Amino acid sequence: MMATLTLAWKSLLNRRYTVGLTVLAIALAVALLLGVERLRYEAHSGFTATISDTDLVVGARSSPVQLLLYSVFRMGEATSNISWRSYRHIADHPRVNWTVPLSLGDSHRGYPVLATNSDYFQYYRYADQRPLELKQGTQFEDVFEAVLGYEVAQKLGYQPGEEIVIAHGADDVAFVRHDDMPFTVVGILAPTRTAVDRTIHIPLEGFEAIHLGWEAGVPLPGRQVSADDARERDLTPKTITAFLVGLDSRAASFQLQRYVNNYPREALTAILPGVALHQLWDLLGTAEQALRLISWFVVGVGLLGMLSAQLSNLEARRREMAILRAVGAGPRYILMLICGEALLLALLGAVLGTVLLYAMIIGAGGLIEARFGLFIGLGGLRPMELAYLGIVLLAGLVSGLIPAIRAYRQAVVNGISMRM
Amino acid sequence: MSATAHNNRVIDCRHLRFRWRRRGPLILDLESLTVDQGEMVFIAGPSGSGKTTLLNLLTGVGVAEEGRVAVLGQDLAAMGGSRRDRFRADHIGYIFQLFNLLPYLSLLENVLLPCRFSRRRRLKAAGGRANDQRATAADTKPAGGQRTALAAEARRLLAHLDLGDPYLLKQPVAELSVGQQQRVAAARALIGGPELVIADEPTSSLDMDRRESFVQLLFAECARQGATLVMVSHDRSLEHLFDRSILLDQINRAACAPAGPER
Ligand SMILES: Nc1ncnc2c1ncn2[C@@H]1O[C@H](COP(=O)(O)OP(=O)(O)O)[C@@H](O)[C@H]1O
Ligand SMILES: [Mg+2]
Repeated sequence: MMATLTLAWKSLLNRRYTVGLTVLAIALAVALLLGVERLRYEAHSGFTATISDTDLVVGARSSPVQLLLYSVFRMGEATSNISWRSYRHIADHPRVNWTVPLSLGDSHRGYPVLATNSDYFQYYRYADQRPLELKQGTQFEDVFEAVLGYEVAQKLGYQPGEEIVIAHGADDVAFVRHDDMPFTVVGILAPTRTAVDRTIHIPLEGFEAIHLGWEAGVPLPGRQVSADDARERDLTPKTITAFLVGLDSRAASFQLQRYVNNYPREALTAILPGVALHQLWDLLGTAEQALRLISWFVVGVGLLGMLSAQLSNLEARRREMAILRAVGAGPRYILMLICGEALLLALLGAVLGTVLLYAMIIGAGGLIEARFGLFIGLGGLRPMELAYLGIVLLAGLVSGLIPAIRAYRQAVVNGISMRM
Repeated sequence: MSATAHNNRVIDCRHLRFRWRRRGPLILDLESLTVDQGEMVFIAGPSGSGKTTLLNLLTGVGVAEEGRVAVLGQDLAAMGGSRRDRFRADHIGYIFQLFNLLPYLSLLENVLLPCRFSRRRRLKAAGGRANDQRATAADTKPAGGQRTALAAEARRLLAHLDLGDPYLLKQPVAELSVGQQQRVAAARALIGGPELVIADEPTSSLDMDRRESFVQLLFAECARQGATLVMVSHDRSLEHLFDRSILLDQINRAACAPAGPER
C-alpha cells in the first residue's frame, strides 16, 4: 500500500504542471462551493441574529419582507409612514409590554440614520436576547445628540464630542444636508455584528427638528428654522416609519397581528420577524439554489478537467503501465493507482480549496462586512461544508474510476506489449 | 501428462494457441517450446511474427486460449490472475526494447522497482547473492538496514554492468544514454535473483558495436546468478553468441504474419 502511494506520488510530481492545474481548478471550484455555502449560512445566521425578542414589527401596509428589510436591516426604503396617533394607540393595547418607534430615511456618509427613543436601548435585543451595550459615552438625551453603531465610529473615526451633519435621504449629496443642525456624538455602541453597527441613532425629536420646513422633501425658502428655534417647537413626531412591539406573551402575537392588520384608521402591516425571515429565505431560496447549482457545476467542470487530463494521460502512460505490469503489478494495482491518483488530486483540491476559502475570508471578509454588513466567521468547517467536501472526494473517486477501468482493461488486454 | 518430469526445465510450452481477439487471426500455434535451466536461448523472428506475444504468455501477463505454459514447473494457466502477477514479480526479470525506466524514479529506485512488488526478491537482494538462508535473516533487519542493503546490492549489480560511476546514480534516468538505460533495465531484471530473465529486443535500439557488449554483460550476470535467459529479436546478428537459437516462424504453425512496423 505504501509502495503504491509513494509510486503514485512520484508519478504525480513528475507531471506537476498539468497536475497542479488540475488541482488548482478543483481548488477554485471547492473554494467557490464552500464560499457560497458559507455566505448563505452567515447571511442566514446574521439576519436571524439581528433581531431577537421582538414579537411584532409594525409599519405601513407593504409586503412583510419589505417591512422587515427596511425596518430591521435598513435595506430599501419605506413606501410610506404611519401616524404617531396610530402608533400610540397600538402601543397602549393591553397586551403590549413595550414598543420602540423607528424613523428612517436619512443618512450620514452612507450610513443609515435611525431616529428612535431611549426605549430602543432598553428593549432592543439581538442574537440570544442580548441587549445593546455602550462601548463609550452615554445614550442620547438632548435633541441633537447621536449614538453611533460600532462600525460607523470605527470606519469614520468618530469620538464622543464630535459633531456630525446628517444628509437628507440615503445619498449624501451636498445640497440636501441638514447642516444647520449638526448632531453631537455622545455614545458609541459595542459591536453586535448586526445592522446596528452600521446605524447612527438619534432621538425622534432631533429627526423632527431637522425636518422642520422640509415637508416637501427639500428645504423650502423662508421656512428655515434655526436649531434654537426648533427646540422651542413641539417636536413630537407626526409620523414614524415603523415600530417594534414586545408583548406580554408570545401567544398573543397572532391576536395582535390580526388586530393591527385590521386596524380601521390606517392601512398597517404587522409581521412576526421569524415568519417574515422565512418568507425572505423562501424568496432568496431560488437564487441560493441557483448559486449552489452553479458552484456544483463548477466543481463538476473541475472534476471533468481532471477526468480528461487523466484519460489523455493514459495514452502517454502506457509505457509506465507496461513497465509496472512487467515487474509484477496486477491489473488491479493499475486500477488502484489511477483511482488513488484521482482521489489524491480531489483531496489536494479540497484541501487547497478550503485554504483558499479561509484566505478569502481573511482577505475579503472585511470588505464584505463593510459593503453588505455580512460578517463571515473564521470558524472551523461546519458539518454541511464537511459533507460537501466529502461529496467532492467521492465524485473525484468516481470520476477516477473511468480512466482506471480503461487502464485496467488495457492492462488485461494488451499485457506487456506497448502497442501505441 | 508428465510434462513436468524434467525438473530443471524452466519453460515448458505445449500445444500453445493464442489470438489477440476472439475472432482475430491465430498469432501463435506452437507444438512445443522448452528451455532448460541455465540456458541462454535466442528466439528470432521478423517484426510482427509474435515474439512479444509469446513473451506475454511466458510471463503470465496473457493467457493462451489453448495449451499449457509451465514456467519453473508451474502451470501458469492454472493460477489465478493475481497469483500469476506475483509469480512474475518473484521469478521473472523483464527487459523491454526501449523506455524501460520510469522517469519519475531515480536510477536506484528503478533498479529496485521489482523489490517493491516481490518480497522474495527484496529479501534475496537485501540478503546478498541469491541466498535464501541469509534472505530470511535479512527480513529481521530494521527497515533502514534493509534499505541500505538493497541499495548496496543495486550498486553492485550496476557496477557489474559497467554503471559503477556514482555520478550516474544522481542523474535523472531520462538523461541517460539509451545504452545506459538498457543496462539499468538489465540490472532491474536481475535484482533479487529471478530464475528467468526475458529480454524483448533489448539491443534493437543500441548502436551496432554496443549490442554485443550488452549481451555479453547480460550473459555474465545471468550466469553469475544462475538465471536462464530468453532473448527475442528480429536482428540475428547476435544469434551466434547464444547456446541455442530458435526460429519462431519454424515452430509457429500460425506463421503468416505480414512484416509490419516494429513494435
Ligand atoms: N495488444 C495487442 N492487441 C491486438 N493485437 C496485437 C497486440 N499486440 C500485438 N498484436 C498483433 O499480434 C501480432 C504479433 O505482434 P507482436 O507479438 O508484437 O510481434 P513482434 O513482437 O514479433 O514484432 C501482430 O500482428 C500484432 O499486430
Ligand atoms: Mg515485439
